[in-house]
Amino acid sequence: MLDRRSLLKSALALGLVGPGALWAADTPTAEAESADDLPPLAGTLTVYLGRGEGGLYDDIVAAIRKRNPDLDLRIRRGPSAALANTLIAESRAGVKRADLFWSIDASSLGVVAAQGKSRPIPASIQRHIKPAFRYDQWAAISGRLRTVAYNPDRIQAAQLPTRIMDFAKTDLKIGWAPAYGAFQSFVTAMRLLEGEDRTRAWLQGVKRQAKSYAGELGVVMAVARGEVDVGFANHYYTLRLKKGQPDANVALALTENDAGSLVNSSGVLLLDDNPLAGNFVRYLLSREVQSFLASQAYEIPMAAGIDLPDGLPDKIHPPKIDLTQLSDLKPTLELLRETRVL
Amino acid sequence: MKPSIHLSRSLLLGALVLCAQSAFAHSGDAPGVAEVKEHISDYESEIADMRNTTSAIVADYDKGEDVGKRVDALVETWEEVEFHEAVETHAMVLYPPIWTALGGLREAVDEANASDKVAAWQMRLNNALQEGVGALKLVASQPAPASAAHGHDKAATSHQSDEPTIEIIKENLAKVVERYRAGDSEGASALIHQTYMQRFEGIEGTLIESDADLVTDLEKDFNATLPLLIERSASADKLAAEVKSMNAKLDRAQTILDEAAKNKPSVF
Repeated sequence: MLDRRSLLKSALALGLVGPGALWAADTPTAEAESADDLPPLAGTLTVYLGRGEGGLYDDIVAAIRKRNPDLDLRIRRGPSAALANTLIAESRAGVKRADLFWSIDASSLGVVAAQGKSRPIPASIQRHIKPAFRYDQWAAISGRLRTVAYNPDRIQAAQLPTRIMDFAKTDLKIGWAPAYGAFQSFVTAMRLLEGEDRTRAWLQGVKRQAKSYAGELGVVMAVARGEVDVGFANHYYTLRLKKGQPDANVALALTENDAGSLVNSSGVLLLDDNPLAGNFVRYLLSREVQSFLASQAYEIPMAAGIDLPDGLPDKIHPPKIDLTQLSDLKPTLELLRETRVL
Repeated sequence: MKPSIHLSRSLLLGALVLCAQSAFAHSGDAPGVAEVKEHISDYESEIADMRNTTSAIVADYDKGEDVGKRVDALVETWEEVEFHEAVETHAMVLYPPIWTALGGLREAVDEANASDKVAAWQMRLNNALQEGVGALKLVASQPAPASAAHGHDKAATSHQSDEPTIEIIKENLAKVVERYRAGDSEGASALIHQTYMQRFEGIEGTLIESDADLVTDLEKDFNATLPLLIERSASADKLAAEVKSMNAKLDRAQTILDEAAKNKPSVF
């Protein structure tokens, strides 16, 4: 085992294989750049930006605009999957409007990259990304981690299973939010890693002791109230709740090498050779933007040398999985309906 | 369920406004690329019928007949055809112009001696329909992105204004009530889901730290209370009352966001 930071890097290096091969391991790593050292952005740049952590991304866009008055930044917002479809359709029609695609959803990036519509991420950008998160065709910007939230008054961390599949064999009261996109990506990862039969059995097993909530914040709050012993949710719900309510009875645990500790990543695709697009990505990976994402959105920064959000577990063991496959949701939804979880 | 009402001019204009801001005029299972490919000839047939109907309406207008109700019926046809949802889902850019042309035609036929104007709107409608089917042919010629199967992200895109998110959410909820009152339960449900996924989720992070209960309350409203009222065919007034209650919570959310904005650190 490694410490929190180094393990986060190296374990993910084993697991997160993007649409292309990992970048050459011998590419040296450089600390995140300061925005003060970046060239000013000037000219016209069109960015397709997937909706998600909307306010925070808007803040970043506004700050980049303010800092670069000669930049004519044109932003098109929309759901990531719809933007991916649009990019492909535009390309097929011989139209190219976007220089860059910025998405909170790696699978949407993968869909576009798989169509050969992206440019490789240059080494000059890659070197500022933690080696574990380097992909040939897209630049990872920040990540989200699946976690097990638990109530320390009801159960101790040491009593929790370290394999997500074993939760179906316990008598723990479990909270989950099956209609939630992040939960469905997690089940998709389980289906890809464990197979459909085992996932079906897991869903059936957990369902017997599960209580459903409308969203994953609801899950975490139910854990804190003691309504359930544990809950499945993305890491930032617990961290945000603890920020507002430091005494909330909830803590984070992780499973090992399985879907229970999946890390999903946002990222950027370069759609042409416009150097302005590459420099825009350097701003996204700058020390200032990465620190903002970590401190304000509790995202896991992908640039080297940036502190992780406070409150994450010391060790994480994410699974080996191709994030772009998480877009294959249809069989997952069928499974959730078949088991009457949805 | 498709709308079964006769659209008055004001309703039609209201629909135009809705289309400018939302991609969810319909909400059934969106056709995938494979289905689009399979149904191209159906779409062509549908728009040929619409064009023929329009020609007949325009000819009768030129004879001095009152054809307003027939244009209303044409709008209903447009609402019903499979082509509608395919364009809405896969060729969003070409979707509003069809509505615009229908609205223009509806207004023009109410005027006397406006044959030139009516003919101009007829041409715009024909062109918009033709461009729509052309775009669908293009869509049909490409492989389906895997994510297209995920209904949550079905909405097509549009450029967004700088309007505060809470205001957009409240406007969308008002449209939910309008659509439900007009008989479009599916459209209302889809707009609720779209608003939650694409608007509320973007601001909930800041709210959680200040008032987590408020966030879970609104999550419940979006994901359970409103959808269940629609599913159980509650009265439109009951739905409107629930939305009114949500608006009060959203006002509280706006206050929190305003406060948080004052203390938010700058990025650089």
